[in-house]
Amino acid sequence: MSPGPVCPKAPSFATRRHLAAGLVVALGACALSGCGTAHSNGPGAKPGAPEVRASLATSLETSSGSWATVAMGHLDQPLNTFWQLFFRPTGAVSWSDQASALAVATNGGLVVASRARGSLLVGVRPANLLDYSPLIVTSNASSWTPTSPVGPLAAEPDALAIGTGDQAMALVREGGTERVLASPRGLVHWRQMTTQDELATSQAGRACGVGELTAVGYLAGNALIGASCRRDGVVGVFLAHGGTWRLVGPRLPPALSTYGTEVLGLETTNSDLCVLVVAGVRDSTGVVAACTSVHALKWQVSPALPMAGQKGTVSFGPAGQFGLYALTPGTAHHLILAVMSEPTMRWRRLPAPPSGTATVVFGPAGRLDALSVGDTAFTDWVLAGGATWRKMQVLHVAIQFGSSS
Amino acid sequence: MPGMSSGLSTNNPTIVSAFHSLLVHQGLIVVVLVALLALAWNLLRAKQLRQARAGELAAEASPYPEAVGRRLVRIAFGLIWIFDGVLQAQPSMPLGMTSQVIEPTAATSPAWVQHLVNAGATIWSNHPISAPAAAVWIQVGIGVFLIVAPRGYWSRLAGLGAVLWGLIVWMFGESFGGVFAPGLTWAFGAPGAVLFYSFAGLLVALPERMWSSPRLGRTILSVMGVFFVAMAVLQAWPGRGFWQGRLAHNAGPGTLTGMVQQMSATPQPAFISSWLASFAAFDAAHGWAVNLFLVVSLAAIGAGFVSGRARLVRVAVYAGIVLCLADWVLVEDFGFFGGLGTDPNSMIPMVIVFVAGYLAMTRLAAVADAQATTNAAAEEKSSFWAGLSRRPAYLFRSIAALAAIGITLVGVIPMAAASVNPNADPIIAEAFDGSPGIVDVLAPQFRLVDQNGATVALASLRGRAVAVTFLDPVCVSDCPLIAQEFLEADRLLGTTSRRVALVGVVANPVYREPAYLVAFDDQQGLQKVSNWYYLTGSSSALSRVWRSFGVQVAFAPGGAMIAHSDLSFVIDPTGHMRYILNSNPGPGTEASKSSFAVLLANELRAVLRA
Repeated sequence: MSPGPVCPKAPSFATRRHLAAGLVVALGACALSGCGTAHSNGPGAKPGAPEVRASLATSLETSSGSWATVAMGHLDQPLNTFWQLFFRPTGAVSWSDQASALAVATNGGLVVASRARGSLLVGVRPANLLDYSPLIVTSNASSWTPTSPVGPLAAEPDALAIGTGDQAMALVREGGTERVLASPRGLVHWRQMTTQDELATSQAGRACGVGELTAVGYLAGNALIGASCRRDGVVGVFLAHGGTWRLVGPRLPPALSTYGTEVLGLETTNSDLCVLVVAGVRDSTGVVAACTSVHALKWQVSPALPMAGQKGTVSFGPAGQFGLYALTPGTAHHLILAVMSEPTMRWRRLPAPPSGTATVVFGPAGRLDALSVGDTAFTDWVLAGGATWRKMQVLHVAIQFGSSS
Repeated sequence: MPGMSSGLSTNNPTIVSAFHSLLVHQGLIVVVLVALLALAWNLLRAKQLRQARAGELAAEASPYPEAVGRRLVRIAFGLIWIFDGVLQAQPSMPLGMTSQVIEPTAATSPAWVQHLVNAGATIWSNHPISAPAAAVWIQVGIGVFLIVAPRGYWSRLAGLGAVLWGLIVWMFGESFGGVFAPGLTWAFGAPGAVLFYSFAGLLVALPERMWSSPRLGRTILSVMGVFFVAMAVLQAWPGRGFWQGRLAHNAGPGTLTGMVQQMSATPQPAFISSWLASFAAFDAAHGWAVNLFLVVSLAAIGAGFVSGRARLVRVAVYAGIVLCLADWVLVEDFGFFGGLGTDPNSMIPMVIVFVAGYLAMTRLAAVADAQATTNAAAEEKSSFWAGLSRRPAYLFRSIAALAAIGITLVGVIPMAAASVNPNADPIIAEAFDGSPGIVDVLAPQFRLVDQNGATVALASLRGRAVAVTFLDPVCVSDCPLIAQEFLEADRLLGTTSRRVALVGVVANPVYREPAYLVAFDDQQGLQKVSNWYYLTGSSSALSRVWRSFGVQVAFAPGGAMIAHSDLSFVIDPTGHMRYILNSNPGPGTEASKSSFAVLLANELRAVLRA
């Protein structure tokens, strides 16, 4: 018998059970979608070491003139940031841009080193799809000779060094691996000297607690490596000696460093080696210089040049007769320019350079230029009368935006 | 010139015209198919009439009516599938679908979701003509199938088709509706419109006898009720930006306000934009109240559905319809504007599902004669051919179902072919670079040194097909991509590559020492390719080769790399140049690289055949 049309009865579902199931599903959905998730550092987190980086923007002098490298273009877009190489011949007053002579895209940055103040070696850091570094040498900016390439140069201003007799060192960073390469003569062949792992597990490395390798250089013909150290106050300067590495860096007093330290750069001035170190005490961060004679390792340490905040970029380089300069971020967007003179080992502040200054150049005859950049404009300021900056030259660089992407 | 490349516009004329051309061709196949089936219908119907005249045909059993809820689901979703199929035919779909719909949707999902979605997106990117056209016909076919097959196994098969394709779209096109991503909300379409399509397909695929009891309706409403309550909890969860019309400290609009503002910017009729802008302004001013209303409404509607009490359910259904339609207009912005809308979003499907649930609970099949139902089903099952020959309605439905399956197959077959073909269509490269130029001239001779120091002249490669291109070993953009394309072409050629020489000529007047060639080869994995020759020479020798091939090489100011022409040449085994390819690699996606490689391999095969 057919039941016929059915009129639905008013259902009497177990509504409570369904509501409970609903809540479970709701919570599940919430968990899946990550709602209300909040991240916190949690209490008791130790203050981190200062995040101070060395800028690739720098200057140096060779026998043919002054060189400076600065970043221009759209600095917030890596592939529209183009590093320029400015040159001012000895005795001239104007700068010219030599970047086009490099014949390679400079988005990754330029690392420069000079051969006993003679020729200039330029390393081009890789960018986008290029994963090694072309190297090119010039002595006068009119002719350029490429040398054998190296692996990707580290983004450190002292990632290249030239020693006596055409020997050279390069610090390369590939993925998570840091390697120090050496070219015994003529920049033709490169071989591996050591790696971060090797150095960190050596006796000298353990005494420092090696972090990153940050610089290479020479001391009286022997290879030097600068690094960050996790041990408080220990400065990571390693000297190649008889097939091993010796930790030869100074030890900073607790008043200067209660964190680990990081070597920003290794500079040879006159007959001395100076190392620029970032160090910190509690919440304050500073740049400390330590210098020693190349003949006898006796370090003298400067006071700290304070920086505003724990983050920033320091541009530094040789300061002619003064010794060493450092350009650091100050308060309220003002830059601090200071020179460290030997043998007093004191920082002397100079008038704050104009806004946008990327580096300064200590030229011959005590001339001091501040090079400021903004997008495609390059401006040369000269310190006049030791007190005010006077605009000397404005250059507009024809940057090919979009050409590297 | 290297580095000046850009992505393809979504309305690239080469792609759009090829897409529409394929749709027209496939449309003609559909027309022929329908015509053939109409002919079959005509012949079989004539046979039925002859049998009827001869008194051989028994009177047709009166058809048993379909449950009204099922009919609603079937026809409404059939129409939506057809509408979605038509939306898939928009000109922006071939190139815009992955970059502007699929990838942004997946971007906030976990890595495993992105991985899965990328696999699907790759099929679309590699086959930007056949895959979108296939999607059109699959969706139109499913829609037609649902509409024309009201009963029996044909209808249930249509439902299963909708479930299957819906799940594929939900996974690969909607990244699981964003359920694994933060920011999930009912108001924006969670858990994905296509999940409702699949749910509806499942309802159609169920045995029809399930529609003769109110239990199915109650189950549908319970599922929807639980879903609404869950969405209410999610909507109420603090810290997700829904309780604020504007974020504190001028940090921008709240989540809902921001979404509506974004939707109001979609290209659409101005009056609709103004509705959305007004609602965004209202939400910006009263964000807390709007969210409270939404939370309470969702919870109340969900509770109403779950209650199972007819009166409460009825109220909840009406309230749900109003809320969903309001959200569809004021938040989801109808879902299909802007040239890349693929469906009307979630609200309409959601309404259809819960209304169908309500109808299934309250209005059962008017003739819920279980025995009649069983008999009819048994008849269809046992005597398919008998049904075809005796019952005109069954015959028509079957012919129409076959037509719908045919339309679906017009999409399914190319989609399956695209899925198993890992190589991209050459049309992508042609969209960037135009079609290869066809020439027949003696190729310029050269004599240079390869990366190993051996002298290589074009004459020494006689008897092999030669592909020549110009590469800067320190190039940061195009050259590495072109090298990869050559490498891929070599792989595609397989054993034929023994009869092919791949030649790169240095396109940098400074870095031309073998050390740079070796570094470039190492970087690109070319050092093990036995038929790869990267050639260099003196500055003057290189300049001569550049000039003879019409390649420009120039220093660029401001720290840019060397500028040079991106050209490739295909030379036949007799030394005649046959094809000139513009080898601008475009955005350098896997699809564009594969596409150029396929094009180059095809041209090399062609000159070898000739």
